[in-house]
Amino acid sequence: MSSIIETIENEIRNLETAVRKENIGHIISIADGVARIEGLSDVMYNEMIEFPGGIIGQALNLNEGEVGSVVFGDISGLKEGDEVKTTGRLFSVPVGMCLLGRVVDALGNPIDGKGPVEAKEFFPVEKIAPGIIPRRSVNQPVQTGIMSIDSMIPIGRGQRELIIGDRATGKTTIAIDTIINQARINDEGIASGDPEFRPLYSIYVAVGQKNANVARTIRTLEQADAMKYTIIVSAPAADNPANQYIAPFSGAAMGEWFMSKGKDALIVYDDLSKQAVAYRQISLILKRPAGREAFPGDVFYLHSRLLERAARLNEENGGGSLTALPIIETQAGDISAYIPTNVISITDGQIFLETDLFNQGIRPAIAVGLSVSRVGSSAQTKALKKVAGQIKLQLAQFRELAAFAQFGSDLDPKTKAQLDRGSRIVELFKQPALKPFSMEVEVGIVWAMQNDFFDDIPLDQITRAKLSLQDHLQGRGSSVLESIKKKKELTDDIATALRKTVEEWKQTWSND
Amino acid sequence: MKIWFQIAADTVGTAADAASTNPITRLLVNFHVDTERFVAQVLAILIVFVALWLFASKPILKTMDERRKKISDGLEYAEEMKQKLAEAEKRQAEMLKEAALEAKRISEDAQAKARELVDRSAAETARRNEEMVARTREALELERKQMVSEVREQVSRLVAITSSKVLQRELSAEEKSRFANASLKEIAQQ
Amino acid sequence: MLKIKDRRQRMLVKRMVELSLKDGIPDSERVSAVLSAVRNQTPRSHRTILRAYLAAIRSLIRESTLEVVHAGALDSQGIDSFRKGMETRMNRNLMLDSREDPSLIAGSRVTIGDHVWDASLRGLIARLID
Repeated sequence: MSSIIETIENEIRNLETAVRKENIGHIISIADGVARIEGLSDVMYNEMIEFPGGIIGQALNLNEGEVGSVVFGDISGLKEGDEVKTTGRLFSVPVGMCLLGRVVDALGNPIDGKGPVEAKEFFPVEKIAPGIIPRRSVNQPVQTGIMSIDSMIPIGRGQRELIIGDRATGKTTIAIDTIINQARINDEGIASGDPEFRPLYSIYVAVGQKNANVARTIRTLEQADAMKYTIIVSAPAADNPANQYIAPFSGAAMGEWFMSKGKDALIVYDDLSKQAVAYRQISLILKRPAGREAFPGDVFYLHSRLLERAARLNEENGGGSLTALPIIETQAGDISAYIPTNVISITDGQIFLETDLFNQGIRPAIAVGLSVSRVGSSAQTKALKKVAGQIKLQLAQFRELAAFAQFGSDLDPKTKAQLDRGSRIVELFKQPALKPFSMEVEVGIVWAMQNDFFDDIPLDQITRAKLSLQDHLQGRGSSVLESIKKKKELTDDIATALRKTVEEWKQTWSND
Repeated sequence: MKIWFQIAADTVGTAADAASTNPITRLLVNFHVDTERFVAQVLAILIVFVALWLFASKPILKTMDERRKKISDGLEYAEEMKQKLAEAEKRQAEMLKEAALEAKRISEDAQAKARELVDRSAAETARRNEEMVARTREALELERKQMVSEVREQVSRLVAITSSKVLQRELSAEEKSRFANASLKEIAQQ
Repeated sequence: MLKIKDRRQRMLVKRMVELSLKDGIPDSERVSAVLSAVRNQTPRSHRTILRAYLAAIRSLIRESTLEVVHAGALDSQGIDSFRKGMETRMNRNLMLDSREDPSLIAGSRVTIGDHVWDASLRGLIARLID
């Protein structure tokens, strides 16, 4: 009790000048999360505005004699004539390690019932992205744990890789698998005590999603023990559009804190299509001119300034990185619509998920022909690069020849071999959700495929064979996996040991 | 040839005369051994012997040699096979031994892994318990902080209300006027 | 403030406002004269023009009013020099509107347009609570 009195006494002592200057305004109208305010002559663009009841807004429209502001929070208590004040600050959110394991809203307020966030620093949600000079090229991998991505569409730290597809094609699952795999790698790396190890922290921004989906995601991450490395920023569908618009920026600010401290972070925006729709709603209410599909003219800038903040910095600037995995939902597979084409042109590659593949049982339903990573193999470990170098080409050849597959008996042996290999690779890359592979196991399995160990296994047994090989590698071949993990490349010795282990497994394998 | 018969006959004749008192001669006479015939018989036997030796015994010997060789080959082969069998049995025994060793290794591996699993799960349980305790402690700490913060807020409000009431009552009109004028000066200086 | 789409009407309102000012402050006599002139002319969209004129004059009055709310009597010389000082600072003429409000406890609160200077004890205590 005495400490409470002391705190208040200190507060009184530390009060500065008795005069406080404010710039005020009055609400003219308020509707749909947007307030029109008269006054506020000193307000700056994007400045934080204080409404009665501690509600915060952001000045977005500075007109002659009138200011248009989005209101974050519950507007039901506000009315015409209410006095509002400028704060002299840009809208900022709490940042720091204290946010890990927490679920916060778009303003950084905790909503998980675990008490206040003891943040010491606040970063502005709107910030200019790093320029050209502070950056360096991407060459550290982000292991998603999904074999098809890690081998053919590798992602690097500091890259922006778009995940695009129709509804219910597994976009969120890819992102969650990546977060879970990174948490596992973090645990192993920290336990090993390696001073060179750099953990990758994750931020998951849920925009416009159902509360039930967000709750399910949180539970999944908790069960996989990944929450301790993750921040969840939630602006569900029930939130007002201003919160849905600002949530990705808040997440980016939190990610930038990690980057500025020389650490690595991964941010998933799920999804940006809903943010664009929320921004469209705000812009229409603010009476900004509507363009194509009724989106405002600066919807490209909305996404480009957000995604440009993901970067890899050079050593002079800390060496940190922010990797972005934006998610876009298409309608009927149309990737040539307005928002998808915008975001495809901004990002460094895309992972395209197709409904047809999903329905055929190929999950993850990645359309390898349409997916690309512009960073490519510079973001792959040497071991994976060596074994997976030819896979994309083999699959491309397989797809070309697939039309002839019905004439199975009339083909020359070489074509038949290509078809067989291709269909086996497709089967090999099927992977259940929430079961990411470690890099070493991926190397082992892909190596076995490329060295013909799966050629005599029937197609319907490939999955079982893959799991059996995984068990064997993790059991009897654990020393080989350990060497691959440590050296990250496939030296001759390791290759020999791997061959011995796989041959051992093959001897015990039976097709029945 | 005739000369030789003649010489032989003469020799036998001479010999017959000398042997008439000889027991051998008496034996020959008793058994009707005709000297000429005897020589011819001996010659015939010799001829038969030579013919047999040339035409019969050689092939027979050859055949016998071949048979002997075959038999010895067969014996050798049998010996070799016996050796190979012994080796094969030895190898089989070694393989069985190796397989048994391998099985033992696998079983030991499995046991070690099982022990590891049990240890890990025990460690995991211990860790989870620790985590639960830590979380409970955190939750209690959080509650305490929240309570302190609430109390602080209440006390601040109380202090503020009390202060304003007290000040309103306690400040004289002169003091209030002085404060008002001073505040205007301060604003003008801002 | 001038939300009239028609350019000519906008110019008319602007002219009406200019004619209503005396030393930069709306003058009641001049306002009456302007209103009667407009009444006689009966332009198109009379009501719209009047509404826009009202909004403009209201805004000007607000910008030109130096509102001083104080707890405790103010020295008339002091307040006069204060007004002059603020006129120099804001670079325009100001009308003084001064009233006493005991709820401020002590000190004063000055408002010009949307700028507020709070030097009252009530404001201080409110900041303490925050």
